[in-house]
Amino acid sequence: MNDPAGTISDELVYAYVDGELDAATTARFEAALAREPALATRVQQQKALRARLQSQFAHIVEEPVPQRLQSALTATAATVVDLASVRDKRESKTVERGWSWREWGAMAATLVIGTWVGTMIRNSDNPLPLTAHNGQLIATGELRTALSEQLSGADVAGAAVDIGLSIQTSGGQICRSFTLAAGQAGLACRRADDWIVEVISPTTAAGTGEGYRLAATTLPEPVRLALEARTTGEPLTPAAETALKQSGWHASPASTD
Amino acid sequence: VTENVALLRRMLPVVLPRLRRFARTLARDPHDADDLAQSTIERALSRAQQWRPPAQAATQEQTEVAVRSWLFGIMKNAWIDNRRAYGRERSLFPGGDSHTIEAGDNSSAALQERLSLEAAMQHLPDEQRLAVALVLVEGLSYQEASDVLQIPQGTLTSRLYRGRETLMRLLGDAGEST
Repeated sequence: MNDPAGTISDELVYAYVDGELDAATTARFEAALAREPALATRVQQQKALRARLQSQFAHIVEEPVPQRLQSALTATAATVVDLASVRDKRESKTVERGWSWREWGAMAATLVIGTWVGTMIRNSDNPLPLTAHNGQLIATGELRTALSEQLSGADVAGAAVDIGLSIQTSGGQICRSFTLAAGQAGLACRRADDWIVEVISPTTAAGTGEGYRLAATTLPEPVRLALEARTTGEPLTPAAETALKQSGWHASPASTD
Repeated sequence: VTENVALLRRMLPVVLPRLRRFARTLARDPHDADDLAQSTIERALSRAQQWRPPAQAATQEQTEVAVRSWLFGIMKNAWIDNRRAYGRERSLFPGGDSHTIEAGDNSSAALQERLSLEAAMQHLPDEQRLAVALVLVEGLSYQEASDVLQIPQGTLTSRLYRGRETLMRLLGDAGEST
């Protein structure tokens, strides 16, 4: 690279600035650079352009990622996962329908509208994502996934489940309100690795105007009362939810004080 | 495949900030850019089964690069598919279009600087803007950028060359200031 000034191509200058020259070529280029001020100016111009472009957009990676993008990460993933579990659910449907009325009756006390839920779960066309175990209703399928994965208020187009808000009870338990696209709303609380559905109620026709989604304020009365009965505090913030999600929705003992 | 999907899902939040930045170099309006990022995530997750990790013993960093390249490629396609919606029709003549710079209050010199550079970026033809965004803003190697754009490396460097020339011309003396 003993070229006189000006004969080194722009391509070579660009490749040097972009760090694309191999070690030997870089060494020869830098030797020329030391000899020729004109070449140094060209390199400087290109470095300045690169630096300007980078500082121009640098702040964007420091910005907090908007909630809707955070939600897209988990919510859409949930529906993807669901595709696989849909088949399993179809297989197990016959088992779910096999529960006797005696068993449903035993859990009616924990439900606001027990017989209605029983009817809904047994409806073969549109079974609720619930299963009964030891007299309690446990969330399954898409409801279970949404309760564990979705942040509150996530605006997920076409989702079967919307999560309204999360609270921490005075006993330190995490409970979350949900709305099903099929037309029910309820409250589920975390126990061990399950979500126990403590209240479920049909949503009123008021919700149909805006599709299935209901704000917390328009939750059915039984769900709203159940929420109020469990906490006097504010709903959990998105940051608190994110932290809880990572700990499997179990509040750390310290934060229950 | 399930493991790959799980790996992809773990890497997505890591890559997301840079995905947003790439979107901002393509769609100037921040909301449009986040729309683009969102539809990229949705496309990626709906095709998660198709993604393959680089190699058996890939490091965390190699995996991150692989996920990033894959997502940048999806974003490029999403952007091209919705070019009209994100880019809006813009004049090819800088300064001749009052919409190109919309600085309501120009109290801040830094804001002006940013606007003029962003405006200049918006005037680059799509293919040059993609090359400039990936190499000069995102700092990708020529190899990785040509993988993302699925073009030969020679095509990439010639687009990059023309993109640089155009930017230098549009920025003119302002390019030297600050």
